[in-house]
Amino acid sequence: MAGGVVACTTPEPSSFDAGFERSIDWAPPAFGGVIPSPERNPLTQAGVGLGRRLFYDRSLSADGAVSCATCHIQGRAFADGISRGSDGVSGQRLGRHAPVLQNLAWHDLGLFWDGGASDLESLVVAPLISPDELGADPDQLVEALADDPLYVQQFDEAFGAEPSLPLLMRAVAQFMRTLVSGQSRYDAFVAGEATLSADQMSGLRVFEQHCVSCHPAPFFTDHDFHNLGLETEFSDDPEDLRKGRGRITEREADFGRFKTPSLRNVTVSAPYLHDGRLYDLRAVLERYRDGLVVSDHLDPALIQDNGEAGLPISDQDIDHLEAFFETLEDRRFLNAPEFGEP
Amino acid sequence: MKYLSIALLALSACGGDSDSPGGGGGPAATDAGPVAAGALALQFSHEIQGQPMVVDQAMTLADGSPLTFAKLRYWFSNLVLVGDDVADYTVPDAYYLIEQTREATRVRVDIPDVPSGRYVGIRFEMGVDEGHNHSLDTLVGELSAGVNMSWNWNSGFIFMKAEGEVGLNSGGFEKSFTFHIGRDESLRLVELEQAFEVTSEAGAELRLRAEVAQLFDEVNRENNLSILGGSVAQTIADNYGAMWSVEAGN
Repeated sequence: MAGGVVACTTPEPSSFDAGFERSIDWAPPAFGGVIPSPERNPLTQAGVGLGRRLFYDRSLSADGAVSCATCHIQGRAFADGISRGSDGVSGQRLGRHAPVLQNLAWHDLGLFWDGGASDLESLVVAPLISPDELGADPDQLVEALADDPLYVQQFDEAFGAEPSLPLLMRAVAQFMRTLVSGQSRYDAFVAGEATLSADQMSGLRVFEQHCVSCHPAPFFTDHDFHNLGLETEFSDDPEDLRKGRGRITEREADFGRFKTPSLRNVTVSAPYLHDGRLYDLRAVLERYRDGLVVSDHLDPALIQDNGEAGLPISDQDIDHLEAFFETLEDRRFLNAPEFGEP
Repeated sequence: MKYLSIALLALSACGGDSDSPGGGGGPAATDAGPVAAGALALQFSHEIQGQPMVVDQAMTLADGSPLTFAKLRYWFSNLVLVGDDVADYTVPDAYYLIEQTREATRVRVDIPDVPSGRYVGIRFEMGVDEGHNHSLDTLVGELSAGVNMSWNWNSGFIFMKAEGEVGLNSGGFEKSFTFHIGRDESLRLVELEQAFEVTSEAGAELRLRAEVAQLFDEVNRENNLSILGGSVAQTIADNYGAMWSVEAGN
């Protein structure tokens, strides 16, 4: 796929390859043209640059071996390719699958699989401090940053202040907001600047019939929480994790509901589901067809008019859906130098 | 009256949300010239049956049961001094972590630049108001996500932690208790009447006494005492809203 083809969702096609010459808060027109930010933490070049350095800095972790990027790898749409990773400081297996990081600025119903983090800034502190992830001691971390003249200079340029935990959270949040994926072949197709194959077109039609209620364009997620009929028991252990959204709201109706993942870059972000239990897309689609566990909690969108659970899709429909998902792969996002290790 | 004061607090909490430390309501020079001001010291005393609570020291509840605290920490916030011959004074960026643990004791808060005058009481909140309770990168007051007083997986501050051992209601064995109380519905407004005067010469001191044994009022100690939410948490929140008294010092 040539970059120039994808480029053309912008009003000025020639600007495509010059991603970093754009305004720092540029977003595709289909996303509203601008990356939204909270008033207290607007995007700045200095803030994003600082956040990028922090994101890739292993010295933030207790043992100097783990960074955000350990489990959020650009080429995998910032997921890690593992069902539940154990690459954190403690070596303990995590309770859930490392989610992709893309288009997070538009997640307005909370972050994490259960929406427990109210915003990106608040999210950052959890993996930073968790002993099973970076395991940082906040006081020691801030001291170490204050001993690094370049960090001191970068915090000053970004915020006019010395390094601190809240400003670290803001900087990493800024970098994550810039991780925008919206220049796939599908986007070029919508803009009238690329074509899809016959199979891809067929897949798009199947998608529009059976998938869009929870995965609507342009983000291919509704950012909401759904129960996919994976289980009927929502035990307290460990740490209420199986309760999903219900862990946060304490409402039984929300038990087993997890955030809809975006289907952008879904071809490179296996494994799938909140605990990464399925390793290929075909297995996910077949489960939607005939592997759902029926319970009172199952999302109504997965029950057909005749009362049967599951999506009425054929093997050929699944082939076509897989072909369509390839069009959501955004090579520019997966390779953009400005998102990589500085 | 209570609703009115809650509304006033909410307004001040949002309106005064300057992200810059020290911004806000100090006695700035006005058209009438600089306002005379003094210092106010708050001295906290955590007591059990009138005896000062000492961490890891066995004490006694009213029913004779043993009670030992290993940890007591809470966010004390949104302090307003209720004026008599002066206007009510909202202390700027008033979010303080008060604690008695094995590692740290912090039972005093010094507030500079309080407008001189006579006051008739104070209002404050136990916990963190909704406007500041869900963004952990706040720069206001002492609020921080780095002091083990926040739920980082469910963005919000833990308003109070109390941990230790307590005897069963029925007597006999002691069992450990862990109270971690938070979420917006656990915020409690406390209003206390006490006349005091702030002068630029002498300042003022208030002794805030918390009868922490009251945290167990209406709590069935036969049941699970790991309380992180639910209805028992609301009982405990009611208790930490009701355990206060105040005296003027000096």
